[in-house]
Amino acid sequence: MPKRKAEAQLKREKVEEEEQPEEQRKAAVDDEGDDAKDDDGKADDDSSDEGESNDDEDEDEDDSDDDDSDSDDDSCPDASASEAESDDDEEGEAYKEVNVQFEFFDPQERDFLGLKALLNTYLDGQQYDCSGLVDAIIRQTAVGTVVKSSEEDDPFAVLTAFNTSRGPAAGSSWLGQLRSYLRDHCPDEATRGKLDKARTDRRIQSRSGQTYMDWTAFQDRLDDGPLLCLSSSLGGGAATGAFSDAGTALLVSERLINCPPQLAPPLMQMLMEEIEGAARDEDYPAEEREEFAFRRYLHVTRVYTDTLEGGEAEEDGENGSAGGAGGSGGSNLNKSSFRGKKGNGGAAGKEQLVVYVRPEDEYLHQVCSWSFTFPLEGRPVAKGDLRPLRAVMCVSAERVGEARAMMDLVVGNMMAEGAEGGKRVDKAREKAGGKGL
Amino acid sequence: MATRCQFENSNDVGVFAKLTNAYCICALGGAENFYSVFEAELSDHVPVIKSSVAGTRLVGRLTVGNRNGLLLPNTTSDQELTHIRNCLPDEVVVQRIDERLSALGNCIACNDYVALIHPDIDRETEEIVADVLGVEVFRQTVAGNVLVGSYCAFTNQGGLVHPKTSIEDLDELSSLLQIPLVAGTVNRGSDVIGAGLVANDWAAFCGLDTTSTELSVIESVFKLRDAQPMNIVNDLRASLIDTMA
Repeated sequence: MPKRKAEAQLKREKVEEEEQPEEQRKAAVDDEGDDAKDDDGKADDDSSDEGESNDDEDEDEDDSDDDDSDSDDDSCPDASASEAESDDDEEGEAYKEVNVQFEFFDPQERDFLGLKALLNTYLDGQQYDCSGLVDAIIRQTAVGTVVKSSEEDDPFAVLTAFNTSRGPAAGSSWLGQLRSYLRDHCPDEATRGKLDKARTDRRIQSRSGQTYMDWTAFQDRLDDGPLLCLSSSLGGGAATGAFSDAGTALLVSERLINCPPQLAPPLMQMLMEEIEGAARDEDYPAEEREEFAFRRYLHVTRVYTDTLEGGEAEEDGENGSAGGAGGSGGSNLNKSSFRGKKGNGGAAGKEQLVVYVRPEDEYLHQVCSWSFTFPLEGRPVAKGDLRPLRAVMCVSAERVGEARAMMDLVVGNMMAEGAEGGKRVDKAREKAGGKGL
Repeated sequence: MATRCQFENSNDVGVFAKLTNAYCICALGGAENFYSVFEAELSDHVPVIKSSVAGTRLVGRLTVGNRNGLLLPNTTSDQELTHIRNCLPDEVVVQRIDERLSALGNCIACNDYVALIHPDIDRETEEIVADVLGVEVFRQTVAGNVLVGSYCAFTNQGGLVHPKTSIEDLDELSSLLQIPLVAGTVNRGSDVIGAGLVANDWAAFCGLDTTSTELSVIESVFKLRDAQPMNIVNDLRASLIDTMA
């Protein structure tokens, strides 16, 4: 596979990005302190935050990441407040600016522990086969990118895509666990159907009165006579829904809480290029190429919400927003780069502000075919803070390009344009800013 | 026999358990699975007890002990102290000590004869360690790291240290401790050995992620099966790295 390696080599030749001075607190603690602290952190997993912070590395940079994530919990406004502050605060040693270089690599075996730390909370505290997921990411050499500050460090971010119905990931336990987790949190039957109507949803009853939960179980007992299917589709038993349909990609995307938005466009670009490459690369057997011929992308991510009314957002409010987002994608108003306002068709007069922490979420959400959100249970949220939600959206392959173009316009894609492009993009941003985006 | 297990999806078994030749202490609150893995291997020979220390589940990292005694940090509550004292055999002296570096399991590594301690530990603590645990105490670092308890694990038979330990350090430690030492990893490349595994003279437990190579090295160096030390040189040579250049 010489072609593949060459491309991988190109990528490994690092897209170096001079990061804008990163406002991270330089950790003034020793290694010792951190080690003891890290062990504590590990033990508190079940009650801790979305701890993409449990790196157990000794690097100073990662330690300062740790400190930031530890303190930045859920509150987005706090993060932006501290960013603003640190610009002015020149005396405070706590707010020194640190330059960080981000480099993009293929996932490798050495990233196993770092990726595990990032993905431990993928199912929001529920235990699942995390090692299996990380293993799958590392094994899939064709597609997948990891962001680190150097080859030996722990990853800050990961983005990869798996085919949910074919290929090595399809039968794996972590995919099944993710599937059930998302199905359990669907707000209603209709969404559940779009996401994943598993075979077990239909009961197949044969004339002899035997009930089978599964088409395959029935097939094993063909002598049982003609079947009477209880569900609405005849000759059924086949599962439908995004997870089981052919050509669906599950996007696995996690990053540390304070990652700059400028990471997203190059990550997405690399992912799409790799997928395209894998789908067309003659060196791969036809089956593998089929695996990467994606028709839609399932994106599972985290967003935050803020009810502008003082009280709790009620169930119908959230359902309304999910429905509104799915149905009226085109008509949403965007106030600023990372805030979206969803008109609420259902509950009159209540406004739900959805805050996106990652830039690609906002644009993917606009072009998605359907989506839903659900709140994370069991996590106390302070009165003024934003509530964390998990968002699931399905974007068809044709529209991903649109989303990426919008995102590149606003956030800027350093990889696409190079140094010159930075200026062009700034101009475009000003123009866009003028339109009230 | 080396066994793989997990505490609530965490592979860091050495954080939640303390294993010696005379007793085993497990953390409270995990799934019964964890506890039963230990019981299956050990309960015929030694008491296996469940306890918290300082209200936390970090029994492995906060305490240090051997056949002769057990040391607890000053943050241990009175009930915990009494509970542990009651459950352990009378020969084991249980003592709570006042030490600024209260994560004793991270700062002290010991077997029944020798102990390595963090270079900054108080004089008094060093004396108490020598007294209660009945060991000879050395102030040492492992691979340049002061947290000796985190980066190495050793028993009376052998020991595993941080993968980046130099040959000279390895030789020096080996002669201090008078046991064979191997530099290696646990839990699929994790270099925090003390947190990743627990071992005594006949049993060892490590995380589910531990690869079979790592497991063979562990079983070899801790002499947990009928293995000759030469096996490391003969059978396993191809999979081991001698030096990190």
